[in-house]
Amino acid sequence: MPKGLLETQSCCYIFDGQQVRIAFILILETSAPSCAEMMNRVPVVLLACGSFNPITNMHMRMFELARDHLHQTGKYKVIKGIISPVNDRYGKKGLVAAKHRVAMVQQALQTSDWITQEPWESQQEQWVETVMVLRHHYNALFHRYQAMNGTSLESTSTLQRKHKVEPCSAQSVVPRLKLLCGADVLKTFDIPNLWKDEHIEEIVQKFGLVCISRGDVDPQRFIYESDILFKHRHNIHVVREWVVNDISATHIRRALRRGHSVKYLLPESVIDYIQQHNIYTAESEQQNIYENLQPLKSQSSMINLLND
Amino acid sequence: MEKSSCRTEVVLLACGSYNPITNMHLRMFELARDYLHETGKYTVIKGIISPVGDAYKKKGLIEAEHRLAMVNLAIEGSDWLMLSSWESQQKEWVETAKVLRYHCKNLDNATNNEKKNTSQRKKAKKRKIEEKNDSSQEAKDLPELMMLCGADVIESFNVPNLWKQEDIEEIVGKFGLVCISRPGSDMEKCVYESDVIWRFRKNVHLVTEWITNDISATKVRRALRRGQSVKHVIPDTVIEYIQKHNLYDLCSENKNANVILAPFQRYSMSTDFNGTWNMVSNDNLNAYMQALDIDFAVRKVAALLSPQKIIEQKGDSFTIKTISTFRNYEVQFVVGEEFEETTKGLDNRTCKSLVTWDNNKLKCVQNGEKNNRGWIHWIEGDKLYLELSCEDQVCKQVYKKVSQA
Repeated sequence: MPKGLLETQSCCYIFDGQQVRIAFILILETSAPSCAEMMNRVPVVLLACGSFNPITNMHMRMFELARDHLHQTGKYKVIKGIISPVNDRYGKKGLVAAKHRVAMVQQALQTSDWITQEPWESQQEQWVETVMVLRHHYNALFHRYQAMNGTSLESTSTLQRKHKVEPCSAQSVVPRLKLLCGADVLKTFDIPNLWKDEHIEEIVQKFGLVCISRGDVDPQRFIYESDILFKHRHNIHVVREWVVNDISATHIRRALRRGHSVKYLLPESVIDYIQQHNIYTAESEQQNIYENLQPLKSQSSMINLLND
Repeated sequence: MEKSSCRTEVVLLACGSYNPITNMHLRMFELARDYLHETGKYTVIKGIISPVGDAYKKKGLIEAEHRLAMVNLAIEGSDWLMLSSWESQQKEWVETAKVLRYHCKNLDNATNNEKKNTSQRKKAKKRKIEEKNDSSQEAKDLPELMMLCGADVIESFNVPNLWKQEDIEEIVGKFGLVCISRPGSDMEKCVYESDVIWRFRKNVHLVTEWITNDISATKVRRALRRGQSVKHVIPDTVIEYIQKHNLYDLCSENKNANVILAPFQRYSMSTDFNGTWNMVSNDNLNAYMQALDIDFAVRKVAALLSPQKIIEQKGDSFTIKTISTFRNYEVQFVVGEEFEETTKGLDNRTCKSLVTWDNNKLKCVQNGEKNNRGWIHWIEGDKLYLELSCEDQVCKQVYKKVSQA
């Protein structure tokens, strides 16, 4: 089993280059895939980064849509979803303290059996680039996979019984970690200095993208017009959102400032939390108003160094 | 204390299929309430959800029992939304205007009862220290009932035979409309282009839903058929109910596939006049006959009659017989061909008559001694309508079709 070991400046990760056996199975409208079929599929974990300021039904929908889409290709089985709220030092206007944003996500995920939250990114000292968040979580997944399937001489079934793992959930391969985002994020790849080109390439090549499109942004055209994206287009899944759903967190914060109802747009528990802690006000919206976004700061300071 | 006594109390009523109820339906109420409160003129005290009856015959419409149950689950715990099952319990399809009238009457009764109770309580308190409250309790006005709907409903006012013009007028004129629309849907233009709505534009409140949330029930049903998730689009409890009862599949979507929608059935104007029709109502006959100089004795008898119409129609060729216990009358004509008509047994005049099609109405002009003389026949559902005019008098008659043996 060939393995590629790559070392980067800030962290180290292992890329599994093994060819994966993929079974193409046609899924009929009414039949659910059998256990055996599911085992042949590539396991996928979806990671959504973002402000989650606050988390809304639209964020929750993204996961549902992505999972349906990947399942219905017949190739993948989505085993987990991860929400990773951005670090406070991102410097976005109106970004409230991570402690609250994390708490609200926690509230929202109470009713979910497959989506979890990882506050690692928000707990770091500095703002963390998306690609590093992906690497971090991939490492964690890989280590877990090793622990479950490792180099033991025991048979898989014995191991499963030992670790009380459901046969269907046993992974014959390391799960793929894909970045889940809206089409608007894809569009930001264009903004000068917001993303490093090498990072974009790594995201689409090594990991993969699941991009939810609302129809207002045309992701296909965007992919076509970018050399990097086009090269790895097989690793970019565009999912069309059939419910035109513009529940952006910005709209929500505006509605809250104006005393308008946001019922049925966010989970009830999140609304309760917001009201209890009085999180979103005119003042909170002024947060970081004189700041530049962190990624834009880092890029320009690098350029200055070079000029020396 | 800050009293909303200068504000009008409003109850919002939203009709619809609710097949199933979605977060969008629930949002409409929130948006409408916020909007009306912010005008400073209204307080919304209640929201009523009234699902349509099965007799509406819309494609894919599942049993009312389920649709009601899902609404109940969705509004559980709400302190101002309630479900009304009245409309869905009626045997026939009920026009929206009728639903509004029913609930309006209900509100009136409830408010009057409250007034009665208040005044009774006041009488009991007569001996106690006078109340510190102002007289706002006594002067409690009737709450206004407004219809809540989406832009698609307003746009549907233009669909032929879907709404009765008088109903539209009553809805916007007597009640009032709160219409939720997406940005860019140009409801203002819609209002401008309709004379009826324009006249009552003060009663039409246009609310823009900036946080677009276009969850149509059709899309939800489609997703369910395809095994796709509808979580966060409709309430979780409704999803559970749907799964438990296995609602919404290919079979349920094909319900009523070949059936005509109830309003179309009721309002469509057939152009087949063939048949026997019995009189149901007769309005202003006496004045019409007076305009024809028909004498008192004949008029007296005629007023007691319930004539029958027997119509034979072959293409554009008609024979219309009016049969009664007093006198019979027959007229034969071909549409578009002028003919000489002698109204024997009526006013015994001779006219040059011409019958033409006016959309689906049969229109006759009887040119002769009397001005403005003629009639119009048309059919709606199983009813034959006849308007007879002479000078400034119009006699309106309605006949019902006798079922063929």
